[in-house]
Amino acid sequence: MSHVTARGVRRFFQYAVLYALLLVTAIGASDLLSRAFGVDYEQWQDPDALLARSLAFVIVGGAVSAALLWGTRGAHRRDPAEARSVLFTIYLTLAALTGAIAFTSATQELVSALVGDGELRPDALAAVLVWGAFWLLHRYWARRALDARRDTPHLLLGSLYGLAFVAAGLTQLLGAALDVFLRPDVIGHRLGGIGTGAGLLVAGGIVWGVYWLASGIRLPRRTFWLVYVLPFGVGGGLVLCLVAASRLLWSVLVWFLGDRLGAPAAQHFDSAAVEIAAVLVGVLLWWYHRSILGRVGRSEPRRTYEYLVSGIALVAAALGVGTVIVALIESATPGVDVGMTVVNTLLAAVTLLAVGVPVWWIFWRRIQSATAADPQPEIASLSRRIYLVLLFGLAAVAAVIALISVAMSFFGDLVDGVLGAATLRAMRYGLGTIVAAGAVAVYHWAVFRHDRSVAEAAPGRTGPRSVLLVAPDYADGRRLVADATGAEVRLLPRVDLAPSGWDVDALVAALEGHDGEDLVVLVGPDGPRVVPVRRG
Amino acid sequence: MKERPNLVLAVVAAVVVLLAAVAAFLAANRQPPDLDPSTPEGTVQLFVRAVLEGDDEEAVGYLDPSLGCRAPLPDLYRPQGATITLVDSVTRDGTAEVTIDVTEQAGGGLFGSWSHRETLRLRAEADRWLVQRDSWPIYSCR
Repeated sequence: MSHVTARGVRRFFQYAVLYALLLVTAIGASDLLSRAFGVDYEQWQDPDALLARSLAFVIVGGAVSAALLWGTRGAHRRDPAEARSVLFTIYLTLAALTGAIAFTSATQELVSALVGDGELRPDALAAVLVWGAFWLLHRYWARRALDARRDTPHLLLGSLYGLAFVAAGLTQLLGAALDVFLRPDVIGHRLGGIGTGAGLLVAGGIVWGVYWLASGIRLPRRTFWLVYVLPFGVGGGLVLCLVAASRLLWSVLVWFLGDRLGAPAAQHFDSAAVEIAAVLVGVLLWWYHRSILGRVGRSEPRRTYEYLVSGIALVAAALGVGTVIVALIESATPGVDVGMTVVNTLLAAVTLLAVGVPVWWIFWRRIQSATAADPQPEIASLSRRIYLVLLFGLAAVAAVIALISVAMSFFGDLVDGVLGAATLRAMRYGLGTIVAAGAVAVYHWAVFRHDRSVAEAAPGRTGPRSVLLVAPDYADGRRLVADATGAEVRLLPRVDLAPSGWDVDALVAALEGHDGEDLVVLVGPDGPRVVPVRRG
Repeated sequence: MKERPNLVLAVVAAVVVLLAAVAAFLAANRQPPDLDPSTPEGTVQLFVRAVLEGDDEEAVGYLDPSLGCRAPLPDLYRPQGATITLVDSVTRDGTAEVTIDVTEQAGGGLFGSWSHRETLRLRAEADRWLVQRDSWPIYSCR
């Protein structure tokens, strides 16, 4: 749809009103059902007014929605273009996801109250049933009415939402359970934490199961699918794992080597159980999404995965380098330390380096050895080029911002006439950032220069740059020409001639002498005609 | 030619390890500075340290009696840990203004510190200095 039409406006209103009315009906139905289940009302709530409202919602909303739905169905049957409209896709996606969100919220409440307090909440139960129906009916409608391509954003967003809840729930559940085990003497409602975790896990699990396990995992592996699996699935799991591992390692190091600020073990390690759980969940997410990618050879998705993991680990390592500088400045400038030692900062630096460098090294070494084994495709790959450019860009931005903040501190103190050790101390984060950005940039610049020299040393390409074949349909011929010339070859099958094999060798011979050019080749009964063209 | 990036990496890693070792050495041998209560900057640092360590008797000793403070000090915000760095000290007639940089550590976390600059005013009395008007960390005793 590239222009606004009356039909588009009508559709917008139709679906917007349908969406709003269905929501209203669902809210009313949920209230009525919870009343039927015997919910207790708070003191400030007026049961009769609520009943009146619910009845109005259900009766009016329900009746008009039913009419609209019936009308929509008729319209779809009469005109297939209706089912293909963007607004319809948006409506289904929005309605299904709204239902999913409300369903997860209610399920989480229900399960956590059951596990944590042992009570069955009637309003949560009612909401689960009503919103579950709302959600699943729209999901079913989407599955029937939309093809895979149109349904993809819906499926992936739903999967992402479910995955986030599963991750949070599993972390919380494991963490709370582990905490009971590690710190048995702490006073508090321990079952509450377990309940919340269980609630999140069940709610998220259902949504994730319906969206991902049932459908999403079988989608064709195109861009959107990869954008979900790689940055969110793999990347999310890795970030969770690294952040939790850093915090855990730091608290252990501070306990043994640094200054604990006088806290007892139970207090110092109060988040340790959750951090351990988060590391495990992060690794699980990482491993699961990696294994979904499957047994892929040295392909672009595999490369993207390796660059992504390297990049995330490199960020941690760079933060570590910066923190070394911060620790150095802190320990070098004089000052009175009350209850806080600069050793803690140094331990933070060590932690970040210990967590980031090994992961980065493992994956970067894989990439570099693949590059050494077969330089041309690796160096030319899009992932590598984007990776390097992104690194330089981010390093530059970070360095500039840090430089500005350093200059502000410097000139501020210069103007006030108080330039001294305290100024240096105030600039420590900025200086650390600059050094870290510099280290990243220097090393990857050397890599970039090396790449350039290897690429230039490669044998020059002879043969045309691209060939557009207008010929009788002969797919193998296209492939043979591409292999022989190394050019980008596309075949537009002629419909005025029957599909037949044509002479590949004669065609390749005709392409001689057109190095680096873009060609259109018309293949007919009297042989190939080569026409050089200008593209773009 | 392949060795070039690896060489750069080795150099960067060596520099980082060296700097970390220097930092570790300096941190382990860090001595608190000698604080002289007969100077305004010494008084201020001693005073703030006493407040943060919970030593109310000593802290009140550095305060001007006209402020009406007595130990134990009223409920005030004491950070768990802090580092005090001297920025500047200006003495004029019998009064002094000392500016310090306070870096506080908020609980246990990798990155939880924040810094702020505070200026305290003192007046001279006999051979020592007294912290005068209400300022960080004790804003009012009444």
